[in-house]
Amino acid sequence: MNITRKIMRLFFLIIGLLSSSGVWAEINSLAILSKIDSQVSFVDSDFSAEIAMTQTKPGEGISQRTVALFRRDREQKFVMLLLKPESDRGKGYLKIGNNLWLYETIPTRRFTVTSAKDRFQNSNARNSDFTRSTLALDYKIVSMGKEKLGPFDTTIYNLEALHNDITFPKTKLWVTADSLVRKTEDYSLSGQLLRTTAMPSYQEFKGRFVPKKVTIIDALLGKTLNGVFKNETTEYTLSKLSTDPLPSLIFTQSYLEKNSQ
Amino acid sequence: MLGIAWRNFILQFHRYRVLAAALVLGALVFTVLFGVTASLTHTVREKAARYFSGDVMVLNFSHPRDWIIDDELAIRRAFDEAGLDVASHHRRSLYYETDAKLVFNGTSLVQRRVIGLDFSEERDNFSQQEFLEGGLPKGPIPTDGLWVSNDTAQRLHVRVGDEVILMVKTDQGFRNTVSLRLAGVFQDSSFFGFASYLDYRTLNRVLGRPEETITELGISLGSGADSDSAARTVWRRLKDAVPTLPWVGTLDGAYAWADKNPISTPTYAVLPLSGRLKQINDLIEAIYAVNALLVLVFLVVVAIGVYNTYQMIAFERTREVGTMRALGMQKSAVITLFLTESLMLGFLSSVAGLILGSLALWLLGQVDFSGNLLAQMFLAKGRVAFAWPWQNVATVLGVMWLTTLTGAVVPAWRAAAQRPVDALRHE
Repeated sequence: MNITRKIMRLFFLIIGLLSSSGVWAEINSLAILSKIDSQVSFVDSDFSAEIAMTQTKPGEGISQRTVALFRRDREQKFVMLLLKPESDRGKGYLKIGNNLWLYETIPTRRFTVTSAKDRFQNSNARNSDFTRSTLALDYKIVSMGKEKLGPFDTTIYNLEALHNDITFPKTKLWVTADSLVRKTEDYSLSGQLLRTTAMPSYQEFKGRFVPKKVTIIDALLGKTLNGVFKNETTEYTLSKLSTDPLPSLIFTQSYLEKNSQ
Repeated sequence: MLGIAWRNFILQFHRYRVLAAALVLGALVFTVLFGVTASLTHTVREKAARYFSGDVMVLNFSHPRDWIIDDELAIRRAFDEAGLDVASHHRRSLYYETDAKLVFNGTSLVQRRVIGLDFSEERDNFSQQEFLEGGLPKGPIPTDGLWVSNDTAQRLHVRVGDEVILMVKTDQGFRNTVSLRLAGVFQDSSFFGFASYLDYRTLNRVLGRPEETITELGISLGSGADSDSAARTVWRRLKDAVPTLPWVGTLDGAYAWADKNPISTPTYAVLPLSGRLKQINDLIEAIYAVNALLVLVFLVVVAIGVYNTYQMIAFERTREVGTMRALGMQKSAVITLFLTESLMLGFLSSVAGLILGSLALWLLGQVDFSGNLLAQMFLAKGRVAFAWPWQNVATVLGVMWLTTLTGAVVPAWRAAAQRPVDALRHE
């Protein structure tokens, strides 16, 4: 009896220590974010899709792009090839591990080192938006709450960056019970809202989920038209989804060079 | 002799007048040319000194490069002990990355340098900016105040009092923002790149640096001081006190040395303003080279003109020379007489040109060139500041005087060499 009590005391002591030291919270945070990551990652197969992107700059008009996306999440590789407009055809991005290159064709054909934090082709999307989701590696949950988001009952997670290789140091996620992110707000370190992203609907594909349409609203950039401030927005949809194996050659610089010719 | 020369000069002035007019014009042009060059040089250097922490600055080139100055006291002591004519001190924290942006009402603009000023030291110097709107308040400086160039203000459509967001990356690599209130718009050509100014503590906070951090320490010197020799003097003092780069003289030189010899502890470079102004120095040197070429061409023309004119004058005054020689005047006296007249011509023409040139410079200073954005870098409040570089002007006038004298030597000698009897027979 004494021994049982001692074991019970020890158990609660350990639980108490874990809770007070934040270790439990970290383990919990890791589990939640890993679940969110796993819902949208294709670690068991390659993934490819076609992205149709529309960039709206108030007062300046609309520009459209079509991009081919190839991902090999298990090796942290991805390639994006610009298909339209014709003037950008041949341009591309290649990410291998932590290195990201932009291949340009004008004025000369060359690779330049770029960053996942940079804007994708001057849109409101960042290069990191198209790579594998790595929330569990990049962020920790610092607080959470509940909120109704349109038709969705969501849990809000306030995240803070674990390292400086991420695009935004603070992020807020609205996540439904199926661990799908429906909305994000990205903030600067001081708490300035920088952009809002909405992913209201997903398509289930080979046991994973891919957003049907993503809308990114830049919180700072835009224009006042007729007395109303209109934000710059970028919308994109994913189609032609595939998990067919991709040749390894795709994830090389020579492929981008060859593709541009 | 002087009296005879003066009398002859007045009596023969109708023969000198074309040459005199040319000399007056030459002196006028050179006074204006050197005055404008000196004005532009002075103005651009003054603006550059405000942009780059003064005439002499100290930077930390340790590796990796965080630029943070840890040995401020030793550097200040070196400034003090150098015995220089210090007009003002500069104490700054800088952000010099490619991603600094100002955002206002949906528009963003990249800033090349975001400069955090310690207003307790830089207030007087910064107040010399040509403010077009707002400026520095008489009381305490607002910690959220922001001062931008007119170019930046126009592109962002921002007015004094508007709230502007500054986006930077912290020293730890995180994207960060701070809301600032536009407190002033100053005239600037942005030749050195867009720069905006704020309180250094505010900048340090948004960069995640300790509040009192500084990354540039410098001094502005009194008028006419040589920044190169001043920097060398400071360097000699500083190298005995703290680890210092060998004398490199230029920013590129400092980078090259530091890249070749990476040192993890603070190691300082002392740089003169000229060491950071390669393009400007090249431009100024080019202007001076063109000036020198013009002076040379003009002096050659003057020498030929003087020679020809005096040939004619000596020819026309042959009988006069014959009479003077018949009355007992020596050859040397005749030569001296002609040369004294030429000196008078040179002197009076130069002085007249100088006076007219100074007047032209003053008039030029009254013209408002504010509309020309390209010229703004060289202008003070949109105008050419009055400058009268006496060394340059005096040198040119001296050489011009000498040229006039030289041009008259051969005709004077030839005139004096004639026999009085031949000269008197001359028709």
